[in-house]
Amino acid sequence: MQSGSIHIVAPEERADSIPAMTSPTARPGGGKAIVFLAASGALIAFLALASYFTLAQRWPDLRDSGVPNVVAAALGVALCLAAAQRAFRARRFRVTSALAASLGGLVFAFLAAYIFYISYRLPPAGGVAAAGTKAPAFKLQDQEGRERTLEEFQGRPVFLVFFRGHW
Amino acid sequence: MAVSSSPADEHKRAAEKLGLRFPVLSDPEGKAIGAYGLVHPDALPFAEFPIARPAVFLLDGSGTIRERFLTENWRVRARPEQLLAMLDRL
Repeated sequence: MQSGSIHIVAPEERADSIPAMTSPTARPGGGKAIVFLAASGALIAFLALASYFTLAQRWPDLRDSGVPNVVAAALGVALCLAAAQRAFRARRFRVTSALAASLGGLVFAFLAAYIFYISYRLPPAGGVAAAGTKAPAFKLQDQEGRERTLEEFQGRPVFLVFFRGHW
Repeated sequence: MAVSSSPADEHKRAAEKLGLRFPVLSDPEGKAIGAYGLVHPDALPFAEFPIARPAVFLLDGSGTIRERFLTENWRVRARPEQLLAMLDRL
């Protein structure tokens, strides 16, 4: 700016020039990167959660472990945090990136809690029918509405599978 | 045979969808689940039916439990190879 002249700065100009003056890493176009990082991070975290309860159930190793999904969710949160870091430095999209990081963090926390803690909360095994004992009898309805009992299978080995229901 | 507390019509849909040819039994009151010591109280806050802890029992021809598969984590289930190995040991 030359002395003696009046330079009227338009609002858009100011918004872009402030980051350029205060931060060596922010660029006027940095907003796109921030939003992209935040959105990708949130999406990855969400997909990590959703895929565990859907796709991962088809692969026993993935289902039993759950660790790859937790790691993926952590990656998503890391991206959100990177976005937030950039956002706060550039002072742009701070709310958006903070929101994405919070949501991602919640998703990660829930998945990690479920995989590493909640799914271990089972009653003590002491009361479960033990090997060497007689299998308790029952009479229950099958999928065709017929009453079935264990006695029907006397003389043959039987696998009795207790599951939590088909949801 | 499979047992869960879901109703018979749900089991019918599941059996058809998965092509299951063995009896899938409905235990909405948890009688069998309780008899085998598998009731998981408060498993789901809003569950209408008692939820079973996942388990597999192998019974021999005389109705005695010979082997049992029980996990410490409800996400882990018995795999076909493990069940076949149990059968081999019978």
